[in-house]
Amino acid sequence: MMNPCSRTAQAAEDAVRPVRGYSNHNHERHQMSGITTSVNASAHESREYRNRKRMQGFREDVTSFWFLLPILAVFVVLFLVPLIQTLYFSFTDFNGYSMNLHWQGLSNYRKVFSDPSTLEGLGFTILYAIVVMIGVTLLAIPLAVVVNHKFFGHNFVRSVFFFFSVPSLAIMGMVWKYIFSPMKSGVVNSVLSVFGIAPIPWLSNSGLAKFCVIFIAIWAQIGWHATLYLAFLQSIPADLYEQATVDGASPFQQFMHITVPQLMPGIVTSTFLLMSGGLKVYDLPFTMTKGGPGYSTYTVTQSIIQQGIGQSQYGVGSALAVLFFLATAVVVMLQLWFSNVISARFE
Amino acid sequence: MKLQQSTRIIMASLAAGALILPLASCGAGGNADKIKLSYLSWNNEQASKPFIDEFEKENPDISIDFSYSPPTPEYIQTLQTRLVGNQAPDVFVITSENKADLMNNHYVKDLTDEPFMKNIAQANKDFVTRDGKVYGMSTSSWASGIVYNKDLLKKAGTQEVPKTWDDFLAACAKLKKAGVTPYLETVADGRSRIPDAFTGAKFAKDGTDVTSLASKSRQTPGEDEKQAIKEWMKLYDQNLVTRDTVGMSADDVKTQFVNGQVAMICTGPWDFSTFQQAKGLNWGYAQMPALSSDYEPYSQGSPSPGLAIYSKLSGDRLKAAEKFLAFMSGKWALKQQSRNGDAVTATAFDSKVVGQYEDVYTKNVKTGKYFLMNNFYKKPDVFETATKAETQQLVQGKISADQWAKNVDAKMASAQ
Repeated sequence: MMNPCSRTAQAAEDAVRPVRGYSNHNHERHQMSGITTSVNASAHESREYRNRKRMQGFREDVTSFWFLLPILAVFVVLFLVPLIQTLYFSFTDFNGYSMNLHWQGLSNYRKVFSDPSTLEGLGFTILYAIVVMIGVTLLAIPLAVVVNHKFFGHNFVRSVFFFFSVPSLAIMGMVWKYIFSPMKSGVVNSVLSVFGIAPIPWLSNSGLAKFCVIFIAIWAQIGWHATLYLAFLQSIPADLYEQATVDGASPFQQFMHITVPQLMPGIVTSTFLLMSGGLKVYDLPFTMTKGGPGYSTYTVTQSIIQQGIGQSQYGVGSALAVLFFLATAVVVMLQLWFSNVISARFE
Repeated sequence: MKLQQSTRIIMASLAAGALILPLASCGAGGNADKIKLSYLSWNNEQASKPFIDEFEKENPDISIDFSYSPPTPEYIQTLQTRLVGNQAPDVFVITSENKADLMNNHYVKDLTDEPFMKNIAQANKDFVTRDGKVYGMSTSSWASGIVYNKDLLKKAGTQEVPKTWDDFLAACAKLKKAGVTPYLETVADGRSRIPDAFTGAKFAKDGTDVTSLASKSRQTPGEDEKQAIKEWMKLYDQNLVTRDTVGMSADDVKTQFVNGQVAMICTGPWDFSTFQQAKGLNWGYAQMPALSSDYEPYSQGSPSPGLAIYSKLSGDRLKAAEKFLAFMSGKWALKQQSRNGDAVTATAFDSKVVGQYEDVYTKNVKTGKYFLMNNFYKKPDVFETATKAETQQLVQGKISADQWAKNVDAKMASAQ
């Protein structure tokens, strides 16, 4: 069965064909009657042809529009309208209880920049996103290279690493909270006590709490990203390695000069996902530490939820959300630009 | 198969009728002539049903349209959405976290002179009072205390929890010397309960009208609680309690107590069932120590959430709402609440409480000698989150008590 698009294209083609036939016939006549008439007629034909072509394009655009309409409607209702509303609320004193709003100018934005807890949250969010992105990338690529080799039980090993990323980070946070408990009875501390090591204040020390949250985020995401790299690795032609081996390249040289450049599209995809996911992180730090001790593992998303919804300061929460949206857009665009520059270098 | 036009019309009419009939029967049921009272609760249907059934039995002309949203953030947001969206419930729950917003935006009816408020305890009225007007009806309260392991206290030659703070610190030192972990609390889930109790006693001694605190233009809960914080911090400054409490949840602390690894913890009646079920645990529940012998032993505690009536309600539905609140403060409902384990504070009614709770119930709950900072300041959510984070930094030794007070007040000021 012909789909609507190809049917439209076929109809357009049919509409154009007689014009071409007419044009050929006319050409013969003009050869006999004179050059001027021929030029005028062909200019008229090409104009007509262009008009028909334009109409055909317009008809195709209209058809495409109807196909895009559902997703466009979802985008407008669930994304664009709330975004504009958020922008509007960020300039008001909306408290969630009264629609009698008052214009506040930039005061909510000033509050965001003068609040030490929000700034601390921003600092940890950036640290988390960057360290997790680098950590996962540096560990997932070698892991993918290792599990790409055939050995006994390699499918099982691939599955085990992938399964780490199956449970949600919120559940991971709850489980790891008990493992990293600062009490003597905490899992890690119990193991350490066997070797005579005193309990370590894992989640009750600011620095260690940051380490624990980032460590778990890296641990949980390595497997998923290694699977992504594995898919890219398997598309690298084997003869590249064969030629390199014949030329006497060492495994490290092969990794650096064949594997890494060939993986570049995978690295761009993986780091993009890690960076955008890292910037909006909420579940893992919240379930593990609720943002503590103090504000050491506080995140921007937690701040938006806490101030906006929890404390009924929708104006401040919206201002923070707008700023965060812009900052994330800039960071992600910079990252894409940087990735493109690197990719171009390896091409 | 071809059908006649008339046959098709008859069949279509029958099909439409079949669809409409069940809908029509919904409206034509027994509730058609009744006054419909909408009630949004944060107790689930199982807990609320006995009250609703009994009320409807006693008032056959009223039917309750019940809806539920779990406490606390979900409930508050549901109510907020319904109020702003003009779908306000007729009767709903008013509590620490939303009472200021409900009063500020005039969503709750003044209940001060209602006859059913006659039996409500003064502390419960104070909880929802603004400028002398009472906006909710709360009939029970809770008060925290010190849960202690009698066997472990005996090890250090102590029989009971000391009555004053200095004696409590001395008892902790004695227990520590005897190789027993004296006391634990959570600072991970929220701030300690002890400073609130001290501040409540201080306000009572100074004669401060706590119901006026939220009306002050400058909110200074940090400054108001500073003295109590300094006293409480002696636990850490004297190295009697591990600073790892910053990373311990309430569940962690409870587990340690149940396993006999700590002599005393600070908690409330919600944990009693766990202690009762713990095999071989010989436990008691004592009043929190007083700041000094000059102060009364207060507790950190609060009236339970109250019921409020939507301010724009009028006519029959308003009368029905008033009847419902009168019923909820009546003998049958209070008895049922008591059976559910609530410590009822309504005057001329005594709850039957767990044996260990008797002392705190009589001396703190019934007398109103309990205090919760969140209840008496504007923006209790801001206060709660700010004090939690600042207290964690204080216990870690990163800031002083003076800085704690300054930071909390700065956060409150920025949120006003």
